[in-house]
Amino acid sequence: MTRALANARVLAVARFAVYAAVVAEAATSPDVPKTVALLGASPVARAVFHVAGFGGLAFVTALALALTLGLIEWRARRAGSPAIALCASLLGATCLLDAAHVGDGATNALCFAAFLATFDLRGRRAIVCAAIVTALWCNHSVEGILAPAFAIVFALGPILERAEQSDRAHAQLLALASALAALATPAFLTFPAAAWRAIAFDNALGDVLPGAPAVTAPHAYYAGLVLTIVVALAIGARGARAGDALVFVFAAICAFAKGEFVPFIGIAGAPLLAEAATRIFRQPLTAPNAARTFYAPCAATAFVVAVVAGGVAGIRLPSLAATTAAPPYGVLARYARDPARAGRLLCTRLAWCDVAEGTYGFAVVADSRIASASDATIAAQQQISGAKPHWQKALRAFDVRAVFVDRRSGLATLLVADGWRPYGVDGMGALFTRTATAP
Amino acid sequence: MRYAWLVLGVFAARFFATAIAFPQVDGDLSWQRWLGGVERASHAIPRRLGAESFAAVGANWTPQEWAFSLAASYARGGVAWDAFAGAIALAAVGSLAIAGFLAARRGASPRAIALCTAFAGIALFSSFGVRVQVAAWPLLAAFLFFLDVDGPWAFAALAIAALWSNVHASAMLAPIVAGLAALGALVDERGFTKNVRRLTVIALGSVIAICCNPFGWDLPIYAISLFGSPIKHYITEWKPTELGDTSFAAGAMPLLLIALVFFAERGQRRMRDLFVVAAFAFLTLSAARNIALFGIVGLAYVAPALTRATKFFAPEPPATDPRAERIARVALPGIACVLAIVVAIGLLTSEDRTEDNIGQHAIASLAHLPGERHVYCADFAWCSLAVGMPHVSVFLDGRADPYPIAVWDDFLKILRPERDWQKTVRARGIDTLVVARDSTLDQVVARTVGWRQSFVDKRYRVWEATRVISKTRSGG
Repeated sequence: MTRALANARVLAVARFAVYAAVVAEAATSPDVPKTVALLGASPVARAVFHVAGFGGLAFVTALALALTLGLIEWRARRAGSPAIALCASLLGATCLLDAAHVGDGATNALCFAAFLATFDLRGRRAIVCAAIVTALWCNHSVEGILAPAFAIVFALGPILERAEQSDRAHAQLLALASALAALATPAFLTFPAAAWRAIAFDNALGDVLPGAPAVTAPHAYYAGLVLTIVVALAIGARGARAGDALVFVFAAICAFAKGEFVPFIGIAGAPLLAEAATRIFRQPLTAPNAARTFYAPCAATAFVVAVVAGGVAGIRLPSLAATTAAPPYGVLARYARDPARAGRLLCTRLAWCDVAEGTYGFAVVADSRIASASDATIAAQQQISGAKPHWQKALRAFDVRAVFVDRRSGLATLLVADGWRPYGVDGMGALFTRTATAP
Repeated sequence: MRYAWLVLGVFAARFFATAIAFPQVDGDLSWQRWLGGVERASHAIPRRLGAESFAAVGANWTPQEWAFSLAASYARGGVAWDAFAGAIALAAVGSLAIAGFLAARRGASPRAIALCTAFAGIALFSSFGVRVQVAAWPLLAAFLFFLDVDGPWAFAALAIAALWSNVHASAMLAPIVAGLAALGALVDERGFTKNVRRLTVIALGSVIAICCNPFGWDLPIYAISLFGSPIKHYITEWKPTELGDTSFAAGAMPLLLIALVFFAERGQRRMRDLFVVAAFAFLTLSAARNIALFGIVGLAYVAPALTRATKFFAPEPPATDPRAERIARVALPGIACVLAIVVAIGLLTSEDRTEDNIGQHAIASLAHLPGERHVYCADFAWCSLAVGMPHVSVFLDGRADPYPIAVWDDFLKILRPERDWQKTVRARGIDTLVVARDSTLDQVVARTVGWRQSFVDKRYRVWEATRVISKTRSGG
């Protein structure tokens, strides 16, 4: 009894360690452009920011991450011991490494985890929950369009494994409910097509908006995705429901496609792998066994919490106002106050325009939501950023009076050669303004 | 292998047609031919960059491609070229065949092998060309084949490793793969059994075997240094794999996804196989150049797993219906032949055959420029064509690895081009630029005094300096 209690304590400490590490990461490492973009896109985020500042947003992000980990653990607990379930949430946490910032990554992860949790429910409750989660997700982010896609993939499972008619019908109804709920947005019927375009699954905008997971989510990719794949190769998804295995495979494809989707492979895969691990150990591990088998991961996470705790005293929630005035944005702040400011601003890094638009109110050609922009806007952004033939014409057509570029880029050299005025350099950014002589 | 031959036939048509009748995919073959010529003339392998490259004269060089280069120098055209290019195509097909044999030996059904061969073949597409790494593919497959043998024949893997090290530096993988297999066997068999001892000897022997080449241990040291080399950021093939790579999306990724679901099994060789497959999965996800390697490994290891795990791919019972037997014997090979012919004709009539993707005409025009030329190419692969040209010395070429990082930094400064690019051009003594037409650098040069166009075609332009540039040769 005493031993079991001690092991339960070890697990509690380990769980606390994992959650604390994620929360500390979310609160202390702001991704300024994503924060500003979130504030621009979400009235709820704006309200939170208005009431509680950046700390409030960080708290909401941390809460979303903790709930996501909780949902992963809850799903893993279906067939596994507490220790295996904790390892599953640890695996999920590695895939969330690059989403642990204020932005929509954490909330998307939560929506996805909640949506998958509805697959484990039965009856009408599951269908209603799936519809509600889909509707909430679609109203929160364009990534919500993936909910019906995952539901359809899940519905193929019972068909493939020739499950009972009631199971097949349930999965199909769930997919139908999710698909219909995806229309419950202000865009109604146009939402699916617009959202699919906006998530840019095919990464056709790669030259202006990098999407390769190894570039945009390097930590989650190399630690989380690779680890999940190695664990899956080791213990596999065999024995799991076909629907769950298909969802895992689809989540893997999504993770290979874009950095934003890397958390999906952990969220979908970790519970599945926990189930397989339990099968390999032949029986659900009891707490004493579990603690012995998973002593190393528990000790590792305890170490992490010790390191985090060491830095707790030094944690200062960053001020958004200060970070949006720091390099490279300082020059934008100066230009924003300039009475001569006019026309549109173009940024070669779209995230910079998130800040320019959201913080300083610039009219920009495009920001990181470019996938939703018109074809002409996308073409102009690609043409100008890449200094492709007739890029000057595109600048004129979009009434661009200021260009914010990498100071070492070829476009900066061309702008100088064409008579644009170097307005200022800040960090890696350089701002150029149009002069009368510029073509 | 029954159905896999049909798939192989179609891939063979593709590989032979593109190898023999298509222009080279990058400039490497040009400098490799030059290297082979130097080897033949001097009866030695150069170990330092010479005057053919003015930016890094005397820099250490490990020309791992020495054997391939020697063969390439004989194959400049006609029958010799057909035979050489055909041999490279055969190497690609051979690697699939050997991996397929290994899969069959491990119990894969004909259907599973055929499906996985198709994915593996697609995984080879993006890296395929008359290139030295292609010659190394069958050696990887053969190494895996012998490593899998539980008997004295397994030691043949050592000979393969030695041969491999004379073809390509990827031979470095041999001791790593053997070591992982030994470690896996140790876990599987829970003791230092006969299998574990043999695999350990092969792993240690492979370390020695890969030094059996003209460079000795310099080759593995060179290969290890590449892993942490910053120049990888500048080379497309080293970029991280993404879904946009067709060879990954339609070749390696399906194999990986099948493995994710079906590979794990509590068999006698669970860890031994797992360690090897996981290592190549990691390599594939970290660099696009490894997609082909995972294709070969995936075919050998994933097809048996698919056979074990699914009814559809389970071994078929012997055919009892004579019609089905006739279809298998006549109709399927017939369809494969037709497909192979269609693929070959399609490729041979394609416009890609005549496309100049490496600035051949622009580089050829350098021969008509007066005096000694110090040439900078906006894509360093193009300058490979100029290596060894009389009166021409290049800034950076497709040999890439031996060039110091300072040369790469300056290469980028000019390529972007940064505001002080002219200073770098002057400091390096560059007097000729080969650029893509209408690229950023082309536009900047057009706006700069002191350069005039000496050649232009649909895609490329050559600029030469109009005034004397102080040639402060810097050794990099």
